[in-house]
Amino acid sequence: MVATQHTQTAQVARPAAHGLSRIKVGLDARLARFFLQAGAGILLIVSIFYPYWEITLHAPQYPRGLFIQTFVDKMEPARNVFEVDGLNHYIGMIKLTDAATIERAISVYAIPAVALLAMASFLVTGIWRTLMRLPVILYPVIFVVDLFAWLYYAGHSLDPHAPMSSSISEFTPKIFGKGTIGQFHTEANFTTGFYLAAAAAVITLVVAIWERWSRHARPQ
Amino acid sequence: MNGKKDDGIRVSRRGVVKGGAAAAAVGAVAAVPHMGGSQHAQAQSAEDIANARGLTPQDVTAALKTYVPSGKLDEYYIFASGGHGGQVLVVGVPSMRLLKVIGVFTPEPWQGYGFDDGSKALLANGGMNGKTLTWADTHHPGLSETNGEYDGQFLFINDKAHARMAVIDLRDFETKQIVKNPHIISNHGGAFVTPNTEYIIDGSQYAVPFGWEYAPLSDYKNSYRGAMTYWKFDRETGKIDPSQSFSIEIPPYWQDLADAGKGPSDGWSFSNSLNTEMALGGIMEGQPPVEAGASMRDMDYLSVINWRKAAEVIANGGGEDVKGMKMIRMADAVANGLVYQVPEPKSPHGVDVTPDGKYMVVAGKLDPHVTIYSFQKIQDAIAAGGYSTDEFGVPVLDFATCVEAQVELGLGPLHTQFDNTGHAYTSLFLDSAIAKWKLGGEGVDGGWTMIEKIPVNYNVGHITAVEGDTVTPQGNFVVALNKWAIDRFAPVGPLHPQNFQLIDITGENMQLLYDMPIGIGEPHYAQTIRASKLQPWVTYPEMGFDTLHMQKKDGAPEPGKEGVIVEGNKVTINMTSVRSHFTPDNIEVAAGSEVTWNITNIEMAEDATHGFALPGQNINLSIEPGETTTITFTADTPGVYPYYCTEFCSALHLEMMGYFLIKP
Repeated sequence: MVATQHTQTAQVARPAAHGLSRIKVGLDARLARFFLQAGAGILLIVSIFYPYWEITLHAPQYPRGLFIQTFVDKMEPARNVFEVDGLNHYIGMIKLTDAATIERAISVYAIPAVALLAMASFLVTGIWRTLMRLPVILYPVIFVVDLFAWLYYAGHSLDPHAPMSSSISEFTPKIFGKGTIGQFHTEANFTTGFYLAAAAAVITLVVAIWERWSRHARPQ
Repeated sequence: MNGKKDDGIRVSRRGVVKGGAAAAAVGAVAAVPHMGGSQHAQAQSAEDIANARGLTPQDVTAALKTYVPSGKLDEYYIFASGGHGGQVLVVGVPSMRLLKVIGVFTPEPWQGYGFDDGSKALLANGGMNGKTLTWADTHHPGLSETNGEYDGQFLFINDKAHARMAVIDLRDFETKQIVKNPHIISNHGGAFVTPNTEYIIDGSQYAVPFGWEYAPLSDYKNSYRGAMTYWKFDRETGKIDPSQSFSIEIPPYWQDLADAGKGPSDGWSFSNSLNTEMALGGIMEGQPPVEAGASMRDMDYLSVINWRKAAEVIANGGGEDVKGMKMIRMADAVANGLVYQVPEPKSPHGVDVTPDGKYMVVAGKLDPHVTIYSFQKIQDAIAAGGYSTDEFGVPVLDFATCVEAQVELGLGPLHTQFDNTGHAYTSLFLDSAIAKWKLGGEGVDGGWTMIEKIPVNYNVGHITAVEGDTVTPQGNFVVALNKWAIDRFAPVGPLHPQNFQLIDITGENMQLLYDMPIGIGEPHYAQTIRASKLQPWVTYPEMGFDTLHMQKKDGAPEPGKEGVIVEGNKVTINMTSVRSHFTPDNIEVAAGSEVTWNITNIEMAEDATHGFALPGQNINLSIEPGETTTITFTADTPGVYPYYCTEFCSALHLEMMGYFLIKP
C-alpha cells in the first residue's frame, strides 16, 4: 500500500522547482525540512560566538586603526572599548557599555530560545507553526534596526556641555561603509555572526516556503 | 547638519570636513609647479638640490645611506654610555637619531627617575658612605649575551668614579638596580659579560686598600690592591646577586679594560693593565707626575684569569668574606692557578677577544702596535711551567712565547672591534683615525696586516661595530666615538659636544657617512645591536604594574577603588589617572601627616603616559600605561598646592589637575 501511495503521489503534477522534484516527498521531505531547520537553529546559536558588526576608526593618532567588534552580548576588545569610551567622553557620547544593555543581557538566552522555537514549530500546525518561525526570520532585520536605533540615539544624545560640543554636531555613525566623526574616518561592516544569523533566517524562510509549496502540491 | 548650540563659534561636522578637503585641494594645487611630470624631471630636481647645497656625489650617497624616512624604523640600536652625565644614550642606526636618554645613576625628571619611592630606593642602594650619589662616570655598556651573542634582554653599565654597576631591563628601558662594589672604589674594566652572562666583569683601576680603608701612600705596595670582581647575574630576577659574586685579589696595577673569552677561551677573562710601575706622583715632593711615572716601563701586564675555576673555588667554600662580599686572596688565586700575567707593551689600552675566541688583541696606546696573543700559546705556556713571578708572586709568562703577531697601525691605538669579513678595526687616538687590518690565523693568507686608515674628527676613543664584540659580528657599519668635535658643528660655547661618526665599511674603501653631535656627556664605549633582537614593551602588560619588580602589585589603585584613607597621622591616597583627570582630584590632609600617595595610570593605549608634578615636594613623575608608582612625604608646610599632569596627554591636558591642600 505504501508503495502504491508513493507511486501515486509521484505521478501527480507538481509545480517544477529545482531539484525538489527529485526529492521524495512525504515523510522524507518533512524530515529534510526538519533537519534544515535544525541546521538553521545551529547556525543561529553558533552566531553568538562570532562578531556581528565591526567598526574601525581611523585617525592620525591611531596608525593601526581602532576597531570595535560587536557580539550579541558584548563588545571587544576591551582595551579598545575603554579607549573609545575615553574618546567619546570628549564629545559627550554615552559609553559603549551603556548601549543596548537589555538586548545584550538577554540575547544569550533569547537567541537559543528563538532557534529552538523554530525547531519546535514542527510540533504544531496552522498559524502557530508560522508564528514560531517568524522570530528567526525577522531576527536579522530586528538586529539591524536595533543597531541603527542605538547608533542614532548615541549620536543624538550628546551632552551639550561636553568639551568638544562646539566642534561636533549631532550625527549618526554610519552603519555600513565609510563615514566621519570629528577627526575620525570610520568604516563599518557586518561580519560573520550576522551572516550566520541571516543564513539561518533565509533557511527558515526557505523551509517555510517549501512546506507551503509541498502542502499545495499534496493531494488533500 | 544643524547643531543645537547658538553661542560662540561652532564648526559643524560638515564644515570641518569641507574645510579639510579644501585645504588638501589647495595644497595639491600649490605642489604642482614643483613636481616634474616625469621621472626625469624628478632626478634633475635632486641634482639641483645637491648643486645648490654644494654636495659632492659622495655626500649624496652618504645621505642616501643614512636617511630613514618618517614612519620607517632604524635597523640597529646603539647603546652608548652617557659618560659623566650618568646616563645611557640610545641611538638609531643608520639615521643616527637620538632615540632616548635612559636615567641610570643620575635623577632625570622627565622620566620621573629618582623622584618616586622605587627609584629613590634604587639610587640609595647604590650609595656610598651612607650618601646617595646623583651622578656617575659611566663608561662601558655591556649587553647581556647568550652563547656569545647579544640576546637583547639586559644592559649593564659601570660607574668608574665609585666602582658601581647598574642593570637596565630592555623590556622597558629602565634601570632596575645599582650595586656598589664593596672592595674597590674605582672601576674601568666594566661592564663586560661572560658568554652566557653568568658574570659581569668589573676590574679596578685606581688602587686603594680594600673598602677604601685608610692607609698612607707610602704603604702602597703592602696595603693597596687591585681586584677583578665577577658579579653574578640572575636572569630570572633580572638582578645582580652580590651574595653569589666574588672578587679575586690582584696586584695594585691599574686594570684598564677587560673582555671575556669565548669559544676555545670560554671560562677565561682577560684584562690589560697599566702603571705596573706603581707610580704615585708626588709633584710637590719632586716626584714625576703620574702621567710620566706610569709610562716609564716598556711593558705592563695582561691579566689572564680563569673565572670558571675561580667560581668553582668559591662554590667549594673557598675565598673569604671581605667587606661583606667573597674574595679569593692573591696567594690562593696563584695557588689555584687562577691568575697569570703576560707582558704587554707600554701602558696599553683595551683588550678585545676575536670572534672565534682564539686571539686577544691588545692596543698599544703609547706603542704604535696592536699586539695579538694566542690563547692556545698562553695555555701551552701555563702548562709548560717554568715561568717567573712579579714581586707579588703572581706568575708572569714569557712574552715571545705567548705573542702571535704584532701589527703596526699608527699612533695611539686604543680599542679594537671586529666585522664579519675577518677584519679588525682599531681606533688611533693620536693619529685621529681608524685603522682597518686583517686578522690572521690558520689558513689565512696575508693576515696580521694593515689594510686602510680613515681619518676621523677628532681624537677617537672607542669604536663600536655592529655586534662587533660577539661571536657573530654583523659588519656594515663602524661608529667612531670621538672625544673632540672642535670645528665640526655650529658653535655652542666653550664646552663642546662629542662626535659620533658613522662609517660604512662595506665598500672597497671605508666611507665616512655622518657626524652626530653628543651634547650630553662624554660617551666612552657603545655597543650596537640588531633592532630585531629587542622586543621592548609598548605598554606595561598588566594594570597596576610595579616597574621596579617587573610584576603586578597587589593593592595598587584601580578603577572603582580610588580614595583617601586616613589612619591617625597616616594618609594613604589611592589615585588613578586617565585622560584627562585624576581620581580623586581634590585632596586635603592635616599638616604633619605622613602621606603615601599611590597612582596607577589605567590607560591601555600606546604612548598614553601621564606626568604628575607636585609643587613644594620636588616631585615630578612619569607614569606609563599600566604602571603604578608611589611617593611618600611628610605634609609639613600648610598651603594650597595644585598638582597637574606634566606629560602632554590629550586635548584637555591643561585641565588635568587637582588641588592638594595641607590644612594647618
